[in-house]
Amino acid sequence: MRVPRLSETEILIASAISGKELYGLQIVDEVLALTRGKRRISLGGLYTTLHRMESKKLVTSRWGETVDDRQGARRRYYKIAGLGARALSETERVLGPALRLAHGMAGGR
Amino acid sequence: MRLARSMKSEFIVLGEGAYGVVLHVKHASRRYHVAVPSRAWNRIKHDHRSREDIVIAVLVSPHARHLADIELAVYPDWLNTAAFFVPKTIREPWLGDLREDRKRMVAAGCSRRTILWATLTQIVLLALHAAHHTLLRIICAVTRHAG
Repeated sequence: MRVPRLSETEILIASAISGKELYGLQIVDEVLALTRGKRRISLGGLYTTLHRMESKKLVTSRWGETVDDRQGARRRYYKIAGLGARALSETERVLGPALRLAHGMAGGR
Repeated sequence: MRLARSMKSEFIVLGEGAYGVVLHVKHASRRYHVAVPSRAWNRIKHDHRSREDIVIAVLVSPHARHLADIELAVYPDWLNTAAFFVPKTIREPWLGDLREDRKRMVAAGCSRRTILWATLTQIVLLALHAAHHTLLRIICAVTRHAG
C-alpha cells in the first residue's frame, strides 16, 4: 500500500499520538509541548484534520467517557494506526536529512 | 407511544439538563425533546445513534423523560445553538472539548470576555477549516474525474 504524504498539521498530530492514545484537548497540549509552545492547533483544525486522517486510515479512534465539564458529550480517543506510523517514519526519513543539510548550509554562510 | 416508520431518525445532544442528557430527537419528520440519564445515553454507541430502532427504544424507554419546554429542559447555553452548524462527524467531541476548555479557562481565572472571544475564535476557525476541507474534497473529486 502506498504511504501517503503528511501535511505539517498531520505530522504534528501524528507525532503527538504516536505510542499513546489521547483525546482532543490532550493532543492540543501535546503538540504545544512538542513544539515548545510555538504551534497551537485550534480544536476546529484538529478535528477536521483528524477526520481526514481517519478516512485515510492513518489514525484509529474510539469513544471514551463523559465527564461533568462536557455536559454529556463523550471524549473521543485517537491513536496512530500502522499506516500512520509508516507515513510518519517515511516523512522523517525524507525530510530529516534535507532539513539537516539546509540547516548546515545556512549555518556555513 | 405510536411512531411512524421508515423515516430518517437521529439524536442531537443539546447538553446536560436537570434530568440527564437532553436530546433533540428527529423521528419520522417529528421532533422531540427527551432527557435520558447519562448512564443510559453512554451505553449507546455513536454508530447506532441514527438507527431507527435505537431512536424508538430511547423514546419509549421508561428512563426517558419527554420535555415539552426545552427552556426548562436544558441549561441555557448559546453553544447548543451553534452546535447545529457543526458537521455531525465531529460535533460531539469538538463541542465537549470546547466546553472542557471553557471550564479550564474559568478555573484559570480568565475573564468572561476572554472566554467568549476564545470560544468565538474556535467557532470561526472550525468554520474556515471545514470550508477549506470541503473545497479541497470538491477540487480533488473534479480533477480526478477530469483526469
